Amino acid sequence: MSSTRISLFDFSDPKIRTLHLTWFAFFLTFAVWFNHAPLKPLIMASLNLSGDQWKALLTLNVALTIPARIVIGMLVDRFGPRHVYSALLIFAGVICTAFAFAQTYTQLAIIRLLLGFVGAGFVIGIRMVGEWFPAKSVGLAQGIYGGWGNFGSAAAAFTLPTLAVTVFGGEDGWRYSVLITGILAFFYGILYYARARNTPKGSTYFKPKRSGGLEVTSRKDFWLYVAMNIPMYAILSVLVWKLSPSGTGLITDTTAYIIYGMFAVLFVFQFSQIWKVNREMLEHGAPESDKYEFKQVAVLGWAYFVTFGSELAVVSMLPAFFLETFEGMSLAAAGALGSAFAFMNLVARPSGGWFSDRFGRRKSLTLLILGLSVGYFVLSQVTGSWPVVLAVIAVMCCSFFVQAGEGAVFAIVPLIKRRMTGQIAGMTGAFGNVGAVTYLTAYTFVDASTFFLIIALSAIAVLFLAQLITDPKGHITEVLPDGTVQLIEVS
Amino acid sequence: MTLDHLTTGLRVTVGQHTSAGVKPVNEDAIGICVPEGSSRVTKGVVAVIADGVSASEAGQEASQTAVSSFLSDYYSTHDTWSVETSASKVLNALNRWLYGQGQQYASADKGYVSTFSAVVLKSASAYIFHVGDTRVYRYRHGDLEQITRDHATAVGNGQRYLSRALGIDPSLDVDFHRLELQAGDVFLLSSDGVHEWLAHRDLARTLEDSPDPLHGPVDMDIRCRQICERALANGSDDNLSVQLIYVVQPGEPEQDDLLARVRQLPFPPPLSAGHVVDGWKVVNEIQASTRSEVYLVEDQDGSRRAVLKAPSSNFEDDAAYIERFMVEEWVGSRVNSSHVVKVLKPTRPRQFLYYLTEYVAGPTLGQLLKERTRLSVVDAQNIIGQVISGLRAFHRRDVLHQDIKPDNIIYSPTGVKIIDFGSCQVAGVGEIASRVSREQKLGTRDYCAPEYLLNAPVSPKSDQFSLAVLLYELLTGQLPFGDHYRKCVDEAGFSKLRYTPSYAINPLVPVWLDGAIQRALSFDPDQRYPALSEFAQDIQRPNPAFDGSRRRRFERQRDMVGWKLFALLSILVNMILLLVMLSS
Repeated sequence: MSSTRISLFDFSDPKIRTLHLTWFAFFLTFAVWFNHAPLKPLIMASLNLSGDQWKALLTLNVALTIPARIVIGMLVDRFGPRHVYSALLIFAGVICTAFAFAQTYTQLAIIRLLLGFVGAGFVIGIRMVGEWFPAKSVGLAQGIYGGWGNFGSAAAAFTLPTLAVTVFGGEDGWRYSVLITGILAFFYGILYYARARNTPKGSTYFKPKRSGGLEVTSRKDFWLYVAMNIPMYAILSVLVWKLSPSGTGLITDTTAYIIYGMFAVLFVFQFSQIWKVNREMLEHGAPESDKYEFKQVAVLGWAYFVTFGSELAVVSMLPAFFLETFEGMSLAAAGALGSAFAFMNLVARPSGGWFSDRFGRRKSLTLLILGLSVGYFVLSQVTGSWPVVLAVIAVMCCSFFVQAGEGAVFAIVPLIKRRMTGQIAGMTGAFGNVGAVTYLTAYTFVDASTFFLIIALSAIAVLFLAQLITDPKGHITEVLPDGTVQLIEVS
Repeated sequence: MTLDHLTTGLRVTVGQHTSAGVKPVNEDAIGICVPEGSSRVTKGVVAVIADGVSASEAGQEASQTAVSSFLSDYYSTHDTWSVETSASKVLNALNRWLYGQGQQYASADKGYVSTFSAVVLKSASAYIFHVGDTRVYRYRHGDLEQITRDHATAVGNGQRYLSRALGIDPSLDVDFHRLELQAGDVFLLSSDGVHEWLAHRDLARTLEDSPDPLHGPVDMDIRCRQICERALANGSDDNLSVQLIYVVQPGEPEQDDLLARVRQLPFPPPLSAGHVVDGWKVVNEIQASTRSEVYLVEDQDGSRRAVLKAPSSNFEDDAAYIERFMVEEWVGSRVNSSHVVKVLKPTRPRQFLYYLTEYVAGPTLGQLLKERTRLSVVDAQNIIGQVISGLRAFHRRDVLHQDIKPDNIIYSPTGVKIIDFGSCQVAGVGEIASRVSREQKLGTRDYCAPEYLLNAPVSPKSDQFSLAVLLYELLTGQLPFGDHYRKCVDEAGFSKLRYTPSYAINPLVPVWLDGAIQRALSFDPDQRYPALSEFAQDIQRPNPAFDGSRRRRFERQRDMVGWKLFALLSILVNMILLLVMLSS
């Protein structure tokens, strides 16, 4: 990723306008997706929720995102990012309004489940930015899009408690602040439709020839790819089990069986899609020039599992963690401190890419994952006796490694198989969501300290996997002092 | 870059023999050409056999002319022409010439008449052209199959009469076959002095005990001679000729994969001002899109400027894209017109994959339209006239441009120039068998003829459609069917579109000019102009077929809408009045 400059204030450039429009769309989806996290005590008090019920809610919020990414990806292929993003924002607005008016736990649970769709917004913008930016600046543009958009959860954590308590006040304060994010999303959806375009003028929006699955280039890779989809179903099934009478009893046995059945159908459908995309390869083999190692994609998936997955999980519980760990902290302060994690996105993600370019792919990824596992280990030791400042610094250090790790993962994505960058990015991103569901499901079983420890340990496991990453081979170019571009052969 | 990047794995061994037999003169003629290098890739290997008709005065001259001119003319056809196009153009010319020579004689059957059969092996296919009673056989897995059908009718007492041949009639009907090649295939061409005197079974047997073909052409020649001798021994009373082509190895698509050669050139890294690539210093970036990057460069000593087009690293491992990029330069370097931007021959070896074109200063028509909204009628006529002359240079080479739009045409002080060959389709290259798919729709939706969307055959008339959209836009600043055209996906969608005459937007557009546009915009290619030259003519001069009545009809319809609305409104008002009166 060579980062040619992007002039962010050149609003006459339609590329830049599109970038700003799109990152803000992502920002709003993130704000809506995580608007419940900083309002935890208010919502719990208002509806008399138990701690278990709340934890289940957090998991439900991210559960549907995994299958939603597949659906959203197909919709984007079919209709283009402009229509899909607008529709998603308007949908988010409506659902969010419903959340503001929810009266029972069941309503809350169903609405949070549906909001999982909103979390799949990321893929839409990645496609949009990819259509507009030339190869040499697309990496930077997507970094801005992802980093600034992710900041939406921080913005929600920072502002919503203040709005709820100070501005509106009263028992229904949280309802009004949630409503505001919904209204914003709704109207921005309309604005997005009016202003954004799928492609630069004169270009055509191409529907990819093969969609619905990733192309792999050997039989072994095909089965590895199929196997890589199993953790997703496994973790969703654990979640359902947790909600069934055997666990918290939020759903009946019948419902649970219906959902297991749906998972089976979904798996078969997904398998058929994967098979369809790869049928020709399985019958005739792939040409030598087209071969790549799926192993690399798998490793990146797991790396994103511990980075982005843990980020989503932690962002959901951190405001409440501060509030409960440190006595006498105000809700607004806990929200603001909780947002410290997402704050680092602005600089950490791009730095990760930079590290990767500078110091080598494998080395950077290894160090960053090592850093985040140490970070989570430190977080697992935080108690009420710690000074709050120290805890915040620990959170920010940890989040730097997490987000730089995300940046490093996405710096490697385009280098595996250029032609399939989009598909590989989608696969990797999906694994991030699987991570979120996994960690939040784990959180429903344990307390915060053990939760952090689980992340730290899983990161150590991924650390070993990361050693399978290979640095790209081929030609590397060098620019001499007089400007001459020269070729160096790398073997 | 020349065609050096194109190689083929096609390997053949050939042999031939001809003799007069018992006749005093040999009226058969044969010829084989196995070229080396790029010609073998673009044109292939050719074997030709011709039998001058004995009844005609100049049978020998006719057959010899047919063979020698076919071989020389076929290989000098344009590299980008397909085998079928090349051969049929050459054969038509040949037929005309022979027929013309024959006209000096009183009776047609005493003219320059010859049978003709040719086999062209190219890439992984065999192309067979045939007229008359010479034959082409294919021997595969012990089976000898006669590919051609004799154009001869028996007329009793052992006499046969040629129903089709070169030089009989000014219009020529040639049989055409295309077969896929397999290693070990043998093609046999023979004249009637051979196949009339050897039973099919015997002919097949002569190939069964074929000597090892790897022993080279001498053995193959001997084999051909043996076949002729066997026919002679059976009592043949005519000239005898046999040709054999043994396919050692067909041009395998995978081996021919252009990519294998092209890959050796890496993509250039992202460039910025001051970088020097192979002695070309980057001045600035002209345009960067997701598909390619275009830079203005100058020679390091500042002596001349050029435009460097580099592939986008998005496609670093996309075989189809890389191949297309190569073809793009190749097409550009072969289209020669003052209205098409010139591709520069590199003076230094290239380290990277890119190509250079001349630098043409000036805005694109797209930028011009942005500034002025619309152009004057005279300017538009003038511009389109020049674009047509550029486009015709493409069509003369069997190349479709496929992406005529305002952004691809530069308006420079020295004239209008077409840039960008990125969407061109070349008939000849389409045949070099390759795994790479070429089916992508490449043009820009607003300017693309309907046949692209409907997957109907495309032709130069498809470029004509885009050109008409362009002319319409120059005159009005708008698209002929507005934004609706872009959204059409099927025939039903197209049939619902309404054309707004250009004079309805720009009253200065003469009705006859709009008539020409409307004809070129026909959704059915058959309704468009058969040739661009006719379109060019109708743009410059009024065609009486497009008279003022169209305009009056349009205006009448437009006025009618107003009247209808007025009537409807008055009925409504009256009803309301009635209601008010009734209720009170």
